[in-house]
Amino acid sequence: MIKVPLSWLRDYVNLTLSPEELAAGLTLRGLEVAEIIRVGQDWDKVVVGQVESIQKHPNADRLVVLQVTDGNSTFQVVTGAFNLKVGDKIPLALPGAKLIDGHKLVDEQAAGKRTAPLLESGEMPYFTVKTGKMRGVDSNAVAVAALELGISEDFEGIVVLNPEYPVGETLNAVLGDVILDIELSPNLGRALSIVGVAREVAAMTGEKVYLPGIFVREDGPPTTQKISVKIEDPDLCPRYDMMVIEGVKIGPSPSWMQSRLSGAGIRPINNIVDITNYVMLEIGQPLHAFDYDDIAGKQIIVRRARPGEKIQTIDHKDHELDSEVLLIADAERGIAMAGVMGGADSEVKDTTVNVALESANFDPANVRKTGRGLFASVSEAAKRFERTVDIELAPMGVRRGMQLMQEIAGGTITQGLIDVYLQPRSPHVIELPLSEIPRILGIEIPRPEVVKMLEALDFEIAEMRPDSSFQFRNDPNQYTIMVSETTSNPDILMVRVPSYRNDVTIKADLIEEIARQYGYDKIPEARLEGELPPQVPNLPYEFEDKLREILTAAGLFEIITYPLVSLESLRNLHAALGDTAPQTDPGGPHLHHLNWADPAHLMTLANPLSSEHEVMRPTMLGTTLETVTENRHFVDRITIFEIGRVYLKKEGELLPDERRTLSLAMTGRRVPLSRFNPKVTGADLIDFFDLKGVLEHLVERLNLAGTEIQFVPVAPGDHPALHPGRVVEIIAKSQGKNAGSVRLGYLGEVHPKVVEAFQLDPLERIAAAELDLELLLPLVQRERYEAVTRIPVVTQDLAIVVPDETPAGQVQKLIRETGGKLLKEVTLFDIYRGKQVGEGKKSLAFRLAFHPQDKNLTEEEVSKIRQRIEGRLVREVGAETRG
Amino acid sequence: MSIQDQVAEMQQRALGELETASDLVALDEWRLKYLGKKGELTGFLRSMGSLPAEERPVVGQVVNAARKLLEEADGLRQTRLQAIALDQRLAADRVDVTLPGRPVETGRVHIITRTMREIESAFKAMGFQVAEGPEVELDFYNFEQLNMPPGHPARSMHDTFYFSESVVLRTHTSPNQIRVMEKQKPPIRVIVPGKCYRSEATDATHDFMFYQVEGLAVDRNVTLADLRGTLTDFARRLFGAERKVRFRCDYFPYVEPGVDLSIDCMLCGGKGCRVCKYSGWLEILGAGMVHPQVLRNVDIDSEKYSGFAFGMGPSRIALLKYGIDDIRQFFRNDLRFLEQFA
Ligand SMILES: [Zn+2]
Repeated sequence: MIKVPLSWLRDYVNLTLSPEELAAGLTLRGLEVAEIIRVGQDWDKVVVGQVESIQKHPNADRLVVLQVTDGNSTFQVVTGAFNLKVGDKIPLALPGAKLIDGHKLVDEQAAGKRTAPLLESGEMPYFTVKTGKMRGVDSNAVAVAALELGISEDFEGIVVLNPEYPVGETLNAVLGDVILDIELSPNLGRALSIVGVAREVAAMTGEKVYLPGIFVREDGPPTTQKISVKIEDPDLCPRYDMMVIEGVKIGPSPSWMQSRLSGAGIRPINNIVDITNYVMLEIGQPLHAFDYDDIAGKQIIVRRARPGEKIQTIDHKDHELDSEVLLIADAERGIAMAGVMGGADSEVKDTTVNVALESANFDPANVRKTGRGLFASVSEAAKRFERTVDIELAPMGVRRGMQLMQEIAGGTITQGLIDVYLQPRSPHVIELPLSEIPRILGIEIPRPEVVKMLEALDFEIAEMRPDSSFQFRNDPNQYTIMVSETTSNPDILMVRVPSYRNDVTIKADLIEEIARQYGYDKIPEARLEGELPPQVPNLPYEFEDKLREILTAAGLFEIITYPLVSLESLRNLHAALGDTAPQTDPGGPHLHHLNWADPAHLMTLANPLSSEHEVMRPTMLGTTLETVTENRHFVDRITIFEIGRVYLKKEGELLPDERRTLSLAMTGRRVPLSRFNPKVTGADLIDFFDLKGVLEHLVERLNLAGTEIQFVPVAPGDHPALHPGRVVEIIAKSQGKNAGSVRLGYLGEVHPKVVEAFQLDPLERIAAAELDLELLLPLVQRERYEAVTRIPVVTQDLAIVVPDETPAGQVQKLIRETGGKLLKEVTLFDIYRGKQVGEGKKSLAFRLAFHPQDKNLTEEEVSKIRQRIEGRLVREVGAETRG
Repeated sequence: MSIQDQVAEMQQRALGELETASDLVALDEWRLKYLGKKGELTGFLRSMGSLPAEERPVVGQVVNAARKLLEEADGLRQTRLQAIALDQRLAADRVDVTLPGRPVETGRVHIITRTMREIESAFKAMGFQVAEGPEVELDFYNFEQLNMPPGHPARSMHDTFYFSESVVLRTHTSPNQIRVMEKQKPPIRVIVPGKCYRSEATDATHDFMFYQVEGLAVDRNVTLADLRGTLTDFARRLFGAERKVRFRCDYFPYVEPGVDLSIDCMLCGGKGCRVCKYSGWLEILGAGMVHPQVLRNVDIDSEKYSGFAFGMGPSRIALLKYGIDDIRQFFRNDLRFLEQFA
C-alpha cells in the first residue's frame, strides 16, 4: 500500500488526467487504486485568515484574543494557543463550519476510550462553529489546529499556513488534496515511492519525469575523518553509503512536509526523522539517521549479530539476536537492525546536534526474515527492502537527505560521500525477438512502436553496429557489449533494463511491459485453436456425481465440512469406550485404524489457528455428527451426506493417503409433520433401517454386477462409535477376476454416549454410515441391459416360523440362493411374534416374485421351486412352514 | 284370464315397479324378479307346456315381446341409475381443494458443488477436462515449482498452514499445474477443482477453507488474446451476456504477463457499493501466461510452447451470484440455508 497525494505527485510529473482517469489507468497497469481519498472536501466555511493583532484576554491568563481578517471583515477570535504572531496566515473557521472536536478526542483518550493515533481511533466527533463568548469576550470564529482538520495529530498550536496563500481563499483550494491509495503486489517495490508512481504516470500519459534537483553544500571536514564504514557481510549488505551533518537544530519539520507525510500516512516526529521518511517516500530509498555522538569509536561495522547479542530498538523493545540478524554496529555494540529498525540508544533526540545518515542496500530475504520474525508489523523501511530497493539509489538517498537537513535544520555537511559498494552491478540486458510479441500476446506491433513503448518505460534499446556489437544511447559509461550470433537477426531488440526495474529479468517480463503500454483493455478476444488433448473420462469424479444424484433423490442433503478438525471431536467418537483403548486394527483396508484420536495416525498442523481445526480428519463421522448438532435445534428431520476425503498418515511418506469417502447421517422425524402425519410428539422416528434402506437403494443403482454387498453383523464393541446392537459392516464380495471380500465401511446407529458427546440428546436415534469410495468405485461395472419380457409375473406369499434369534437376512439369503434365476424379488413384508407362533419364535412372511423369461410359468413349476425353498429352510434354519 | 292378459298385466306391473327401483341394488332385485332364471317371464315360458300346441307360438311371441320391452326398459333405467350413482359418488368425494398437498422430501446438492459444476461445464464445452490433486501438498509443488522459493515476497500473500517445513495444506490449486504437466505433454487443457486453505482469521468475506478451480491450457501459439477470449466467454456465460469484463495487469509469480479479470458489479450496476468496495468492479479470477520458468521446471520447451493458467473461487462466485452476505454460511451447513438452492 502506498498513499500518493496528487499535490506531491505533481512535483515530478504533469498530471493531464482527472483523478478517476488516473486511478483507472494505473489499475489497468497493475497498480490497483483501492480508493480515491479527497481531503478537505468537508472544510466548508474554512478560509485563509491573517492575524492582525494579538491581545491578552482580560479575564484569563491562558487565553488570548486575536483579530483575524478574511480580507473583507475582521473576526474577533479567542484561543488558547500561543504559537501565533501578527501577520501569520491561519485557517479560520467561520460560523457554520464543521470541525473535528479535538477536546472531545483528547478527553476520550484520557478516559481510555481511544488510543493513539487519535485520527485512526474510529468515528470522529464533530462540532459546528458558532459565535459566542469565552470568559466574557466575544469570539466570532475559530482559529484551527491541525487535529481539527484531520491533517495531523497536533492540537497544541494553530496551523500556520504558507505565507504565500491568498487571504480569503478557501482552505480547500490551498490545502485540499486528492490522495490515491494504491495496493501494490510484491513485484511492485519500484512503485513504493512518489517518484516511482510518477514514472508509471509518465509512461502512461507520455509525460516526462522530473527528478528532484539535488545540490549539497559540502563545506565541513572530509567525511572519512569523521567516520569509517566497513561491511563484513557483503552478501547481506551489498552497498552502504553515509555522510555526516554537524550542528543541526532539532525541531518540528515545516508544515508542508508534515502535511505531505500525513497525507502519505506517516506521522511526523521531528525534522531529522521526518526528512528520512520524506526521502524514503519521495524516491524509495530508506534512510536511517544516527545521533553521531552516540556512535562509539566513530566506526560503522555491518556484521551479523553474535549469538545472544542484545539490542533495544526505537520502539523500546528488547531483542536477543542470532547470527541470522544483520546488525549495524559501532566499535562496541549493535546500533541498528539493518533495514528493519534503529537502536534506541543511537536514535535522534531533542538534544542531537550531529547526525550520521545511512543510505544502504540490504538483502531482501534477510530483511524479510528478521522483520517478520521479530516484529508484529513490518516497518516502512523493511517493506521496501523486502521487495528489493534499487542498488543505484543509495548515493542519491544520502545526498537528498543531507540537502533537506541543511535546508530545514541547518548545520554543516561533511565533504565526500562514503560509498562502500564492493561489487558494482552491471546493467541487465535482455534479447527480445519481436516474434515473441505475436507468439505470447496474439498481436502484431511494428518495431518502431515497440521501441517507443519500451523507451517510455526507461528501457534503452541498443543500436546495432556493422561489427554486430551494440551500443546503448544515453549511456554515460559508453560501454559496449558483444552479443551472441542470434542477435544478428534484425528482428531482435537488445534491451537494457533500468536499475530500478529489478522485476524485469527475462523476455516474458518485457512482453508484459509491452502489454501494459499497449493496454490490457485493447488485447483482442481470441478463441483457443489447435488440437484438443485426448478426451478421457475422470471416472472417480463422475462417480461422485452419480452418488449425489442418487442420494439427493433419496431425500438427503449434501453438506461440505472442514476436514480440519479438533482432537476433541475425534476423542468424542471414542466416548463409549470409557478407559478402554480403541481397537487399532480391525483388519481390512478400510479405516486402517479405528483409533482415530491417536496422534501417531494423524496429520497434525504445526501452526493451527486454533485447536478447533488442528488435525486432518481420519474419519468423516465426526464432521457429519457435528453437522447434525449444528442443525438439531432448527429442523426436526436431518438427512445428510458428504462426499469428501479422509487423510490417513502413511508410514515413511510425507503425504497422507487422501481417500474419497462417503459419510451419511439421518435422524429425526421419518415423515414431516403435516395433516397426513399429524403426530406432534411420538411421531415415527428415523432409525437404523432408514439409512440401511438408502444404502440398499444406492447399491442397487450402482450396477455392481459380480459383486454382492452384504450388511454383516459385527461383534459388540468392534466399532467404537456405533450402537453394539445396531451396527453392521458393509462387505463387498466379488466373484470372477477380482474375487475376494473387502470391507467398504460401517453402518449403524450412533452409540448413545457418542451422541451425548456431540451435545445431542442420548435418547435420539442417529443412523450413520461411512463408506470408502476408493474401494467401492472399482466394483462399479458398465451398465448392461437385461431383457424384460411381457409375460405376466407370478407372485407367491411364503410364511415360515423360525427361532427368534435366526437373522431374517440369513433366511432371505437362503430363499434367494435357492430360488434360481426366475426368482427376481424377495420382499419381507411381515414379522410376527406372539402366542400363535409360540414362545421364542417368529413368523416371517415373504412375497416371492417370479419373472418368467420366455414362456408362461405353470403353477406346477412355481410350486416346485417353492418346495425346494421350503425344504432348504426346514433343513438349514429349522423353519416350520405355514402355507 | 288368458295368458296374454296375464303377460300384459305383469308387464304393466313390472314397468311400474321399475320406476320405483331407486338404486342399482333394487334394480338387480327387480331384474331377478322379472327377467331372472326363476323370474316371472321364465315362469310363463315354463307354463307354456300345458297349452295346446297351436297356441304356443302366439304366447311365445307375446312373452318374447314382453322380455324385449322389459330388457330395454331395464337398460334405460340402469344407465340412468348409474349416472345418478356417479353423481352421488362425485358429490361424496368432494374435498377442500385448498388444503395443502402431501409433503415431498428430496435432498439438495450443496450450492458450492453446484457452482463448481456450472464452472466446469463452461470449460468442458471448450475441451477442458477435470483433474484432481492432493490437499495436503508439498511445499515444492505449492510454492517452489511455481517460482516462489523460500523467502519470496509473494509467499507473504499466502498465509500457509504447515505440517512440517516441507508439507503444507495447499493454499491454491495451482500446484496442480505442475502435477498435470509432469504427467501430460501439450496439448493440455485441464481444470482442477478442489479445497484450499489459508491460515487467516475468518470473517464474513474470509474463511480458512475455500474452493478454487484452476485452469491450464498449453500448446503451440496459445496467446494472451486466447486467454482473454476464453475467460471473457466464461464470465459472460456464468454471469450473463450483458456483463462488462475488465482485463487488467496483475501479478502472480508463476505467470508472466499476469492478469486480473473483473466483471462490473451486478449489485450496484458499476456505481460502487460495499460488495465491490466502491470500485464498481468485482474481481472473479486471476490468470496469466504460464511463466517460462514454470514450463522449464516440467521440461516443456518454453520457446516452442506457451500456455495460460487461471484460478477462481467458486465460493466467491456463489456469493456474488446469489448475494450471500457471509461466506461462513457455506460450510456451516444449516439445512435452512442449503435448501434454498434448488
Ligand atoms: Zn458494487
